[in-house]
Amino acid sequence: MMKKHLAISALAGWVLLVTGFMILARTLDLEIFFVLWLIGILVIVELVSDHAATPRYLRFQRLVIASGVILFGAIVARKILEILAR
Amino acid sequence: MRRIPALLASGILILACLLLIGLQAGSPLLYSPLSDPGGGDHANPAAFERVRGDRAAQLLPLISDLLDSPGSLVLNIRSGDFEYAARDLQEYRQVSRNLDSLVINLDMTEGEITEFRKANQQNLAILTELFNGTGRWNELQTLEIRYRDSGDSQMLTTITYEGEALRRRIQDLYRDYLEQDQVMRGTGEKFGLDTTGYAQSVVDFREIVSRIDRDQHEKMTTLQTTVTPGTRPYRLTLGIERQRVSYLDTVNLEGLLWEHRKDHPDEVDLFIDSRKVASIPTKPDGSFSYSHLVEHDRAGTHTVFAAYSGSVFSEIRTFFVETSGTSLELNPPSLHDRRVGFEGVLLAGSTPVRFAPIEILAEGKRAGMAHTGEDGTFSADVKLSPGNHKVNAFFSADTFPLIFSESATFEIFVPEPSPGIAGEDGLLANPLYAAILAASLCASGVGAFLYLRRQRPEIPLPSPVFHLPGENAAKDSDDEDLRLSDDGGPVAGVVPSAGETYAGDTELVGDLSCLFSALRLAVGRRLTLLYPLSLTPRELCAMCRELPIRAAVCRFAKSYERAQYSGVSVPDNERDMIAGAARSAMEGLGGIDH
Repeated sequence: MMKKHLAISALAGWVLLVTGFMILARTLDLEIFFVLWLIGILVIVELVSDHAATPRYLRFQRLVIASGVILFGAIVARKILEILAR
Repeated sequence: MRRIPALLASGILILACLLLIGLQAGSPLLYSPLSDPGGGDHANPAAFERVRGDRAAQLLPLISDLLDSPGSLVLNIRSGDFEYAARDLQEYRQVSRNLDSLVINLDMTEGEITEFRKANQQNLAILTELFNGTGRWNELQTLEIRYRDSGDSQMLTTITYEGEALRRRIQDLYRDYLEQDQVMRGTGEKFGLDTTGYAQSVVDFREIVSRIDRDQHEKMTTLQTTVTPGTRPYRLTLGIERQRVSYLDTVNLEGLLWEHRKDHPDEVDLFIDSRKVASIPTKPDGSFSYSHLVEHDRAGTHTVFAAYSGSVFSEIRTFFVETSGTSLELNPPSLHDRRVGFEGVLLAGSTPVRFAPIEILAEGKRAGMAHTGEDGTFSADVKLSPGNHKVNAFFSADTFPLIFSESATFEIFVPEPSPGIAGEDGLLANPLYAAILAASLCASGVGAFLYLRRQRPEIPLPSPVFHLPGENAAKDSDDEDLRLSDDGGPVAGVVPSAGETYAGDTELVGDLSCLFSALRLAVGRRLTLLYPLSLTPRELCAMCRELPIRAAVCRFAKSYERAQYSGVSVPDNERDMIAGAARSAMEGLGGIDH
């Protein structure tokens, strides 16, 4: 199986695992889901990418991850503001 | 074929979405009168009629339970099994609450049921007090043994007097319990229910009272014969002006110490419910007085006695604190900055209740606390979560001789918090919030930029370790201890690699490839080449055409190619020639670190 397919399968499995646990815990929180997805895709991209060369399908993923990091910062800021507003 | 895994993953995701929808669809919010009680348009007269017809069927089991519960509870109290008695009392409370809520839900106002409810509430209060009183009675039994063993006559007298107060109170409770008997058993018999359990509870209650009477009589007899033998019964007298008082009334206590010396002021200790409340100095004629304000005294009978020097006791007097009703008024709550302000007043009749705790409830749960001031008013600033809330105030204090009261319920809407994301006014108005948001976004932006610009650390290539011919390996101070033994020879176990020879002062370490790499690196540095490692031997020779070492480099390159690629073993003399050419080239360059 190609690395690309392995990465897709791993990410889908990770997302399903997170969703399943959220359903079991009855806490469907979009922010937590996003953060866990970001962690998953970071790990998978790091494992799949090569030392010497970056596959073409991973270039776009790096941009997605960078956008996710910015969004993560916004989520953290929002949480801090929520705590301060209490 | 390549798309199969992707399709598989998509299918799994779709199934997951369907599962999520299915979880919500499994318990949909359907219409029911309970879920939408508001509005007269939703009333269903037919349903009401059916409910009225069934109410007797719903009430009878509860009434039966309420008639049975006291039997088990009083029996456990009589046998001293307080753990089971506490459980019975809890169940009794729960069944009583169920009856109250059922009667309210069915909107029942018949006199018989109302009477039964009142009698049952009285019974619940009586049995709760009986439970507490008998528990304290047992504690007094234990304390009596301890004080008798230690010979503490003052404390022995004190607990005996407290026991006397308990005895009187339990007698009162029994009388009150008998008063409810007719209503309780009459209702049960009317519905054809078994009332033997309740009747048995009356019998057991009477036995408890008889036993306590008997025990207390023995104690009082023992006390009079052991503590104050041969003395007059009351050298210290005590009187109470008013026997029945209520909240914020004053109980005036006056007494006289008969054996008083005029030249010596004495102090008389005053005990209310076995607790010392004051030490009162006597006047020159031996009299003393004390005013007790009824504020934090529970409702019911209280005992008072005075003691002088721990050995002279007055007779026991009692006063009764009546329960007063209260009214709790709450003003419409005000909202300011997500905080809800509550103001109100607590009155007992027309008297303000001071220093009383007031609970602020939101949806029946405690959201805040307040205390009344001198004038009975209270105010609280409570923070509530955004959304609609039903709030009210509640007063219930066991330490007051007052009945609990509850204010009217108000509905209030708390808006969402103003500070948020996406440039709302509240966010920009507060510089701290804006700074936090900006800092977080900047940090995440820098993180994203560094991630994109990040380069993975390359796997470091093994650097060649070699020594040119003529260089002494021992000069390398770092390797000296490793490569040489104590006598200067090779260390045992270190095998010389191919081409490594020991010929006089010339030592060739490393193979020909390393030699070529070193020479290529040296030439590259000399000519400041960008990629010296890409040079072949012949290119190296060509690059040195302007240098004086061209002949040596080219000789080395030619011999090196022949040695490397001819496929035959290199004789020693040719190795020496190659090493000599490399050495002369390196000397011409000024060494490897020129």
